Amino acid sequence: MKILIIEDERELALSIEEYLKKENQLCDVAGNLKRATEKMDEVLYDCFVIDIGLPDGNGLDLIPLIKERDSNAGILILTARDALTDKITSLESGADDYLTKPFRLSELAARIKAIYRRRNLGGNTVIRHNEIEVIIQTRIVKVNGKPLTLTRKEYDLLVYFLSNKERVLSRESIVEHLWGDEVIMADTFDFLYTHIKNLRKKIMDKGGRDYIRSVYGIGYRFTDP
Amino acid sequence: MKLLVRTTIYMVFFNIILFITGGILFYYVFKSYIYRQIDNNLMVEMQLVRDEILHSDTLPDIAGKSRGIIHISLSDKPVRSAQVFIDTVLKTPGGDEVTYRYLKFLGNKPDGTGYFIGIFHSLEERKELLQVVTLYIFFLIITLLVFAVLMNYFVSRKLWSSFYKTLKSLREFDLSGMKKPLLWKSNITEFQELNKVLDEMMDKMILDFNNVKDFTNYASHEIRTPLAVISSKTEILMQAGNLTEDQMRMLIRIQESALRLTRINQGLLIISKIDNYEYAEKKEVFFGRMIDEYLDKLEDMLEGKSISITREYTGEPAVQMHPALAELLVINLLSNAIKHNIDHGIIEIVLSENSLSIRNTGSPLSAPPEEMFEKFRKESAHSESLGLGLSIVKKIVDFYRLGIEYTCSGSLHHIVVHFTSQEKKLPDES
Repeated sequence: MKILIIEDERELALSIEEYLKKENQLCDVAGNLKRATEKMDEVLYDCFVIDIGLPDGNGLDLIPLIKERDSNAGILILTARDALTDKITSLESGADDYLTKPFRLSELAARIKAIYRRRNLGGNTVIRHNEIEVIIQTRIVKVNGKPLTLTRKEYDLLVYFLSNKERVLSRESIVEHLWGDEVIMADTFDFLYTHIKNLRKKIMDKGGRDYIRSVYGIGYRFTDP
Repeated sequence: MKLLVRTTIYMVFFNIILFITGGILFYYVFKSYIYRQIDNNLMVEMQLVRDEILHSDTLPDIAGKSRGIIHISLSDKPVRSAQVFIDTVLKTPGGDEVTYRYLKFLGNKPDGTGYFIGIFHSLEERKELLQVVTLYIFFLIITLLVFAVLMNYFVSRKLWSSFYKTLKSLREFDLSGMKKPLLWKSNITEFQELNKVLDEMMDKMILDFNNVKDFTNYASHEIRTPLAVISSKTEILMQAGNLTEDQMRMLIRIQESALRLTRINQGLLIISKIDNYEYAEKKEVFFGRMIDEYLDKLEDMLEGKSISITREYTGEPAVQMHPALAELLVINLLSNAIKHNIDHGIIEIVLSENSLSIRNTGSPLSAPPEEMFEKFRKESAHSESLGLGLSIVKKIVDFYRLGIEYTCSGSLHHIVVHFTSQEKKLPDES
């Protein structure tokens, strides 16, 4: 997957690039609209991460240009402004998703992959990791070819892990991904623990390996054992 | 009271006082003038009689001379010359009482004997004149009064019309919509000036409003980007793999603090934007659906805490709101009821056409419930919460002029949002 990051804050662009690059994805960075259009002429990108506030204009203005070149390209908007109104304008202008700054890189990675799957493979994607298979369209999970019955949250959890393989994911980031940031309680992490325990158990029951590692009680990491 | 009515009342009031005093004054002046005239006549008459007596040494005779001589008497001794006016009432042969002006005068004939003569003049015709004149004056006053009031009314209406036009235009002034009304041109200097001042004021208001708006937007934007850098860098650092547990914990704290700062920033921004009327858009909203969607997302968490939820929808409030604000209202109320709940607690949601009522168990409050709407007010048990949720709820409720009630009896909390008070609470337009 080829991703173009259009973000004028260099440090942030570099962080995104570094996080995404680890998964062998090709990332380019453009600091302004002009540079972005030049890059678009050189390379055919699958996905664009666009900051709305660019030094030479509004990032949303790029959307028609992108659609002109490749209507299948995914677009994720980054906004540093009021989430309530930018959310609406972003989606109305043809973007696939939006994130408000600051965001978690793990969340960004998960969103980009979701957009990519939806866009390029018509939803008929299968995420495969060794013996685990996730059929996105039907939300069916198989381990060694045997179907696995997961609750909705367990499924979301698994996809989130698969989108952020080999990464340390803090408990906070997982909770926010699953339930949103409004309901963080003292015992929220216990629920998370229960969900993770159940997911692990279900995978291992079907003969899968134990991929989910706990990281010093800080978070979790999906990694090959 | 309307300006026109008030000026008319003042006008009528002062005119009546003026006309009454004027009338009374006129009556007495006229009356004294008439008296003086009669008295003068009588004096002239007296002089004639005196002269006659002096020259001809004969006394005028009562019957023969018409001139109102009514009384003559003589004295043997000389008298001191004198005269005196008296008002008197005499009976006519028909029995009517007639008022007269009566002049008594004493004098001495050339032969040295004194005389005493009384002459009089009827006051009746003069009185009649006085009455007629008074009546005319009275009618004149009434006519004048009516004309004065009518004229004042029409002139004022004409004069103030520019003012009313300006007032009407001002009502159209909508700061959030950037609609500056065009004020009517008046040819009255004061109103021209008023319009000019108002125009400048509106320009200033729009400028200030935009400045504040730009500032909040700018400040919030500029804060977010560095926060995004902090957050992303810590996340990258977390992946390093050679960190100790303590270092990892510190990184997570840094990241969480950055995100928390964002939420505070966002909460305050929302409050200030509501204050600035930036969420003017209105749409039909469906509270039932929003509640269902939100609770659906948290289903497993509620199950985990064994919180039982009952939902009762008897109707949808027919309110028009900004969709994002309606969602914020619902989410803040529900997340509050969940966050501050206890294990095996309950939440009862009743949605009707008039109100949204949420009743939940929780720990008793240490402060009066109303204070919970204040910014950064929170019960210490939940240090994670920002203390902005309920103040955002209050802002939204106030913005749409809804009513909200928070009562707490022991461990049972009850919040009701009333949708019907929308009309009642409109500010009095008078």
